This record gives sequence, structure tokens and C-alpha cells, in this order.
Amino acid sequence: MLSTVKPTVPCAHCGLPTQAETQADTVFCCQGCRGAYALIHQLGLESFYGLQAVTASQSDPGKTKVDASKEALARLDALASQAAVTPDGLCSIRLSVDGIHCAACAWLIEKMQPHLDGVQATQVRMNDHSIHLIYDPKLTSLSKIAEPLSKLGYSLAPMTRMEDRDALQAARRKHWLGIAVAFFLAANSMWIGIALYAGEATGMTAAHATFLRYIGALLGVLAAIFPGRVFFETAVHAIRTRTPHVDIPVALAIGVGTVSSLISCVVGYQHIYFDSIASLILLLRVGRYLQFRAQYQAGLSLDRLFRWTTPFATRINSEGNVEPVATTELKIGDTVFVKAGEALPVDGRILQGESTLDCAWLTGESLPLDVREGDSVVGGTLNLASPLKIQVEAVGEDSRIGRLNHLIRQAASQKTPLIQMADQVGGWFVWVVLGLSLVTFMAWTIASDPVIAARHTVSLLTIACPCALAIAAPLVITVAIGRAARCSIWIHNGNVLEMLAKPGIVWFDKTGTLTFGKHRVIDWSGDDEALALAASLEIHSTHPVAKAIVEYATSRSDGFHANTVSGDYSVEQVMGRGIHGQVMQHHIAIGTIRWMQDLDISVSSPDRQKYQSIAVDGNTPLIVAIDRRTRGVFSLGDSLRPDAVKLIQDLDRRGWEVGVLSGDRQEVVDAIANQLGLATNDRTHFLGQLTPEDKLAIVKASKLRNSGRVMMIGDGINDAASLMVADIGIAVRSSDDLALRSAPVYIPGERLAAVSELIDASSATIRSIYRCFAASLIYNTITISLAIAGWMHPLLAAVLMPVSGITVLTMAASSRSFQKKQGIGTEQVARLPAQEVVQA
Amino acid sequence: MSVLYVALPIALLLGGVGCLACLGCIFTGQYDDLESSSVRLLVDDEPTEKK
Repeated sequence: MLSTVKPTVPCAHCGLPTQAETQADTVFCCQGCRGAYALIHQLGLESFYGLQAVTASQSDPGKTKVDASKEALARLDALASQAAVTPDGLCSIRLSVDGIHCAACAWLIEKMQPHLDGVQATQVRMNDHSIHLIYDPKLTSLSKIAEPLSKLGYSLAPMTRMEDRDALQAARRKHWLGIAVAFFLAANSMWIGIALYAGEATGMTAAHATFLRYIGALLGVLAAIFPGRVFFETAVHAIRTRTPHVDIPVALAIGVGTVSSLISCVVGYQHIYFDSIASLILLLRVGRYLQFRAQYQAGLSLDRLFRWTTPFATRINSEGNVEPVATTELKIGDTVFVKAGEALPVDGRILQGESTLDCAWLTGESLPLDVREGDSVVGGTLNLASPLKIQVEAVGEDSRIGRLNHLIRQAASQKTPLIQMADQVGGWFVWVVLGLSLVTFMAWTIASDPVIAARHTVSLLTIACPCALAIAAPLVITVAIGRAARCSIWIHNGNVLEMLAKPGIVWFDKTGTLTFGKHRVIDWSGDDEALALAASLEIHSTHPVAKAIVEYATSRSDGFHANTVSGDYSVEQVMGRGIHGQVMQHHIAIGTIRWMQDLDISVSSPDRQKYQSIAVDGNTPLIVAIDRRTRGVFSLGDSLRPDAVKLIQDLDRRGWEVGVLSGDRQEVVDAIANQLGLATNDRTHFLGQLTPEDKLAIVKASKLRNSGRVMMIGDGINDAASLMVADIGIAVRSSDDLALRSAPVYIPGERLAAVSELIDASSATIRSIYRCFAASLIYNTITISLAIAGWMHPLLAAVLMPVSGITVLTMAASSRSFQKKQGIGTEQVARLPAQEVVQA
Repeated sequence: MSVLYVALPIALLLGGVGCLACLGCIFTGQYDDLESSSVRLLVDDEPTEKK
């Protein structure tokens, strides 16, 4: 059946591909976008689209669903009690805002402020997706403010608290403070140093020289005391724990240099090194900051990961009235009301109602779970069919989500910090330098006198520059992270680049990662007429299986179109068994063998055999009976992604062990393993029926065997815990789950091949780091030899020090990781994911 | 008396004030979010009404 292919044109508002009649149409992918477009033009804010185009490289794929119903908005008013009151009686509150894809969105929200009555200020903070509102409670309320925002596609929710986030914020500020002070002191001591050297060359009065020296020494001492104090603290700690650390010679150099400079000052001796010391401190502080930054993102992930839990609930109080409350205010024993389409806010027991739940976050599977009165349910699952009244049984830290959260934090804090390569090489370097400086001192003391010996030792310690070691590795990693972003691989934790160097074990989630994640009809054993009739019945059901059958029929059958089904129909659906009804004068029944028994339909022998064989293969069989005679069996399953097969072969070739973790049945997992051509008798590597806690435990356990090299690749919330715990956690595909975008590594779209790119980049990065080290070591060997021999003129030492830093910077920037190939396919990536937290 | 004895401390003082201002900014969190500010630059002011 031929049909003209309709061109896909980007939606005028959000840019997602939409079908259009002609290439030139203005189309919208949904009513939401249409409404937002209209409102934006109405308010005169069309510049939004211009801005969107400009900031396109930093924006997010996908849209978030916004619940703009009156009830949802009304719940926001429950938060008003948390707002602070300013002296003029206005309310000030910080809320989380969902749906910000790029800087243009932040601009749009702020530009709305004049159009919102009673709102004095809206300030968007992009790094944590929050908005600070100041409004007059007499003129407006949170629900009124939220309404136009939700029309534009942004939803407000309470801000999550996180102590870790504040601690990281504080640490970052301390780094900046240190760098600012170090820069001030280094710059000033450097120009004073220049004055002194110039004076040596052209002549300067002794009084002036002394004055300059004293001021310079003061700056040097300040540099050692304030920004330099960190190194002393680390060095002392390292000495106490007997671990070699780069900071030991640093602290020594700073200490000895400062002291001898002071002595020289007082004694009137000529050469002092305060400028070298101050610049050393500056460079080292910058290096430390870069290192911190590469790991900073990983810390923030934990917060974003669990923002998906429902912030609001509808409580039924003792009088039987319905009131919206924040989830945090619910107590055990409360009764909550959950509508169809809402997520359950808490763990509990069903008091009234019968429905089906989407437990994707627990199991990763999309087949719904039937629940009825008396069943226990878990918070976070989505209520699909009909409203439920639930009695709260566990809240906060005691709920399933809370406990999972706790497990993650625990595992994350036990993570052995990667002994970075820099520190390993640095350690070795330290002992060599210390030994050499001791030898130098003694040799020169014997050869001439202690003062000269001190001078040479200090110049040795100064010139033996650990700068390269301090900066090279973090710099190379920072550059690689930036390059990775341009290739659509979002790395939030720089350590992964070092960890991918050697092969270890990689765990794959099954549904959605290795497979397409959707139930599809793989095979149909009957004839076309029966297929068409079956589809015409399934059209009336919203079950995912029904959709799969209709899709199959539409694509395959020559006579079936969705809109040709007309006339009266009657349908009855029984959860867990099947569906039957009357369509177009035929009685049609589709379901399990049990369902056929219930309806008293006898199943023919070939069909029965087909049924069994499908089940054994790990797929889902469904029998179709027309007019009480079985006509065929559907085989439903999930198919492997072709790029998954390629990736696994590639990983296998590189020496990685492959494992699959799934919430699905064991037979299905075994079937997948077979298809992948991997040994299925290895029970430990292919596991089904797993809860998120099980996956977490397995990943943790494998870390003990393969320390530092456990990779986890998953796509759903139910993998979130294991993603955070694995050494290298990679989230793929899901643009719907905001949470996973903060995983240690995030690869959007359908690009599993990017994992191979990541591993290549990792080797390139490490090679680059080695190159920097090699250059640095050669440089150091030469200069140290010169210093020991006494040929290092102090001016030369002062100049060569920054030169080594610059050399390293240049080498790091020229590293070959993530060389862009022929450019990213622009049609596929109209929008790249948000560069959320990458800031200087 | 040489100019140097006056000029140098004053220069350092001026620089120090600048440094303290910078420290103040960092401390009060002005550097926490660098993304939004960079984009605000792109925004044109609305044309003012002619009276």
C-alpha cells in the first residue's frame, strides 16, 4: 500500500519533528506548543525564538508534560506557607522550575514578569533550574503565577533540599576566593620582582631595593599564609599517613622559600624568590580548582536524580474534605486520593479502588500491574486506570524511594576516590626531588657554605615544578569534557575518562537499553482476515499490547486501516487475561490460554503448540479466536537494537565482560543472551527479576572484583541507583527522564555507538596526560640538573617557571580526544542536551 | 623622600580594595550562576515609549 510520505518539519515552537502537508507549513507538534506560540506572540515576546536559535547548542531535547489543570495549580498555594516575608510584606520563595531547556527559556520566564500582576521579581537560576519569586500575596497567588507559565510549558514545584549541594557550593566558593587572593598577591609580587631585577641590571639605590624586597616578602608571606595554607595542611596530613603526595615538595618549597626570602631580606642578601613562590601558589590553586570542577558535577547529580518524586498529594482529612498538601507533610495513617494519570506520592495500602499501575521505575517494564483493595503499593508508580484511595504506610526516609536514595548516598560516599594518575606519578616525583634536594644541600654545604647551599636548594625546589603534574591531568580532562559535549556525550564526572582505560565489566539494563523497550508483535501465525478483525477489536483498548497489535496490523495488512473500523462494537477487558467483544458481527476474543478456557473456547492443537513454543522462547503469546474458533497466535516481544549488538561485539573485542541486568523474566533475559551470542550458561552474568535494590547490590558486588572498572549502562529510573554506584554510569536514550540527564555520563538519542567513542576518547585522554607528564619530566630533569650544578640563575628560574606552565597548557589543549568527525547530523540533533552545570 | 615610598603602598591599597570587592562578590554568591547572566547580555531592551 503506497502512501505519499509527508515531509517532517520542525515544530514552530519546540523544534521536534512534526508531520506537515508541505515543507513550508507552520506546524505544531501538540496543542501545548500551539498555545505557547500564541501566548508568546500575544505578549510580544517573539525574540524568544531568536534567542532559542542562538543558544541552540546548550538546549535540551524533549518536552516535559505540564499538568496545567486547575487542581494541579491550586496545589502550589499549599507552598505559600514556606515563603519568606520581606519587610514590605511581599512573599519571597524559591521554587524548582521544570521545562527549562536553554537560556532562552530562562529569558522568557523573566520577561513574563511585567505581564504577571503582583509579581515584583522573577529570577531564574539556570544551574539548578530554580526560580526566585517575589510577589504580593494580596494581589496574586502561586497558582495564578503558575498558570501562564504552564501555558508556556514550564511547571513549578517545591525546591528540593540538599545538604550536599550547599556543601559543594561552599567548596566552590572557597576555591574562587583562594584563586582571587592568590592572583592578587602573585601579580603584585611579580611586578615588584621585575622592578628588582631591572634594578639589578641598571642600578638602584640600596634603600629602594630594600624597601621593594620587604614589600615583596610581605606579599610572599601573605601568599603562603592564605591561599598557600591548603598545601601545608595536605602535606602535613600526607606525612602523618605516610602517603607520598605532590603537596609535600610544594609545601617544602613554599615554606623554605618564604623563610629564606625573609632571612635574605633581613640580612640584606640579594636573591629572593617571593614572586616565584606566589605564582607557584597561584598555578597550583588553579589546578586544584580544575580538578574539583571536573568532579563537581557528579556531586550535583544526586540531587537532580530524585527530583522526579511527586511533590504534591491530595489528602482526605477527617471530615472527608479534599485538600492539597505537599508530600513532605503527609503522615502515616493519612488517606490520600490518587487520580488516574497521577503518580502515587507515598507507599501505602489501597483502601478503595481497583486500577493498574505503571511500575516502570521499579522494574523497567511497561506492562502494567493490576492492583485492588488491600494491595500494598509503592510511591512513584503511575496510576493508570481509575482513582484510588490509599492509606499512607511509609513516608520520607522510610519509603521505598527514600531507602533507595539512602542506599545510593551510602554507596556514593564509600566510593574509593580514584587515585588519579597525576598523584601516582606525583608521588614518585616527590621522593626523587626530596632526595635530590637533600643531596644538593649537603654537597654544597661541604663544597662552600650553607647560605649558598640553601640558595641552590631553594632554586631546585622552585624549579622542580610540580605545576605540570598539578594542572596537566585536570586540564586535559576538562578539555576532553568540553569536546565530548560537542559530540553529544555529556560527561558530568571527569574521572570516567581515566577509568575507561582498562577493560572491566559492563552491565547493561535490558529493556530500553539493549532492546527497543516497546512491546511489538514479532510474529502472527494466522491469516490476514483474522489479523484485521483482531486489530479492529484492539483499537478500542488503550493497553500497550493492544496498541502493538494495531500498529502491526496497520503496517502489514493490506486491508486494514484504523479509520475503516466503524459500526457498533462492545468490548470487555479483564486485566491479566484478555479481551473479547463483538465487532462487525463477529465475536472476537484475544488472550492467554486461561482466557480461552474462561470463555469456553477450545484451542486447536497446532495453536496450543505454537503458544507453548513462543513462551519457551521468552516472548509473550496471545491466542486469537474469531467466532469461538482459534485462528492464530500472536508472538509479542521486544527486539534487540541493532546498534546494541554492534556495541556488545565491540566491547567484547576490547576485552570487557558483558552482563545484563533486568527486571523482566529470566527466560526473556536468557533469550536475549542467546541472540547476542553470549554464553548463557554463565548464570552470574545474565539476571532477571531484579528490583532496583537488587541491581544496586549486584553492581556494588562486582566493584569488589573489578575495582575501578565497573560500567553500567541503563535508561530508566530503575537503573538510577546502579548508575550512580557504578564506577562509570552511562545513561542512554531517555529524554523524558530529566533525572537521568544528570547521570555521570549521559548520551541522548539512540546512539549506543557513542560508548565506543567514549572509550576511544578515554585512551586518547590518557595518552595526552602521559605526554604532558613526559614533557614535564624531561623539562624538570634538565632544569634540576642545572640547579644542582649551581648554574640556575634566579632570573632564569623565575622565568622558566611560568614557561613550564604555559607549555603544559598548550599541550593539554592540543590533546586528540574526541576529534570531531564529519559533523553531527543536524537533523537528528536539533537540540543538544542542556549544559546544565558546566560553569567556570 | 622618594616617591616610591608613597606610591607603592597606595598602589597596593588600591589593588587591595579591588581584591576585597572581588572577594565580597564571590562570598555573596554572585558568581554561583554564570549562565543566565551571560545570556541576559543578548537581550535587547524594550524600546521606550515616546512621550
